[in-house]
Amino acid sequence: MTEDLSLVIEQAMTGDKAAFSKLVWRYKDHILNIAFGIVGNAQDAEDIAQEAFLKAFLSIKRLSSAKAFYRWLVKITVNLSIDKKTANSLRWVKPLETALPLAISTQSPEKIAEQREQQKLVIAALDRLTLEQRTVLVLREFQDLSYEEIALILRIPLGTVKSRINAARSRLYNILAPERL
Amino acid sequence: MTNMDCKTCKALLWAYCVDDLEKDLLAQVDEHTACCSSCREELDTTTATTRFLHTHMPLLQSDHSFVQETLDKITLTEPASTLKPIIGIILILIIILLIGLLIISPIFISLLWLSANILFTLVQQGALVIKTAPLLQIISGTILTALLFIVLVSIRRLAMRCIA
Ligand SMILES: [Zn+2]
Repeated sequence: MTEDLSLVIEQAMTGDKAAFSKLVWRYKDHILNIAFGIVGNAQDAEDIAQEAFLKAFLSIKRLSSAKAFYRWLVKITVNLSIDKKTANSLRWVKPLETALPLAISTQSPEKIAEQREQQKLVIAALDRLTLEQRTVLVLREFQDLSYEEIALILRIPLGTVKSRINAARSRLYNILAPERL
Repeated sequence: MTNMDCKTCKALLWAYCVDDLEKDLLAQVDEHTACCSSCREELDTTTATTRFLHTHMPLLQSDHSFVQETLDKITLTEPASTLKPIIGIILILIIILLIGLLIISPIFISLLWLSANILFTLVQQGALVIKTAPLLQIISGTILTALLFIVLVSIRRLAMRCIA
């Protein structure tokens, strides 16, 4: 972590809103994509990310050190995402079409349609993992967090993190490899 | 030929593809796949699968409006959360003050007489109310003095902070 960033976090810890807004700019896409990876819905992910930042701002004074900020923010996001995903699994959920992010309009309609199909395939594959497997996979595979960090965030043993990631990868391989070939 | 068997090698292929293996294991997979066609074939499929996953996993990007909405939500909740406890404490203090003032005021004795009479006629417990009245007044007096002290100290502290 750079010194500048530590300083910004420390300022935010005193309740400085301007400093906190810098942190929102810095981490918004990480947080948004962690939530999206777990819930698989762009609109839900945006709501979760905003709520996570709000929760973080309201309780940032309780944070022990600036170093722990990102891990703590991810933990809030993961908890909110798991709650949302669990709630979604108990009710009717919007079809995948509306759940994906908007495509870039410069591409041709055929290209966009093809891209959407492939994105749907990936999201559907992630949906077939257990929520535990999916959470660790998103943090490792797409957000590049270390095994140790994931263990600390989810408060599970390192061995469990590794076994869940291996299980998730093996399941994804079995789902995606035959479908693509 | 390495010591690694096909089962172990295949279990490590995904991690190998996404560069998530320690150096020695990486070297062992390299060595094994160089001379095992079955694992090499599976390595090709795994490479294609991980590439497919990473290429087509939708990547969300938020813009200025996301940040603005987030900060707006923070602004909406922020004053309420910091003001609420203070308002609550002030309200409680005022209520205690009013009750205390009522108890030590001269009207209280007449009110007590009235309620004692009512209670006496209703359940014949009026004497108990009259007996406890002085005790009640002593307790109220003490609480009021303490309260006054707290209020004065708070005012002094606030004034000091304002001056600083
Ligand atoms: Zn082999």
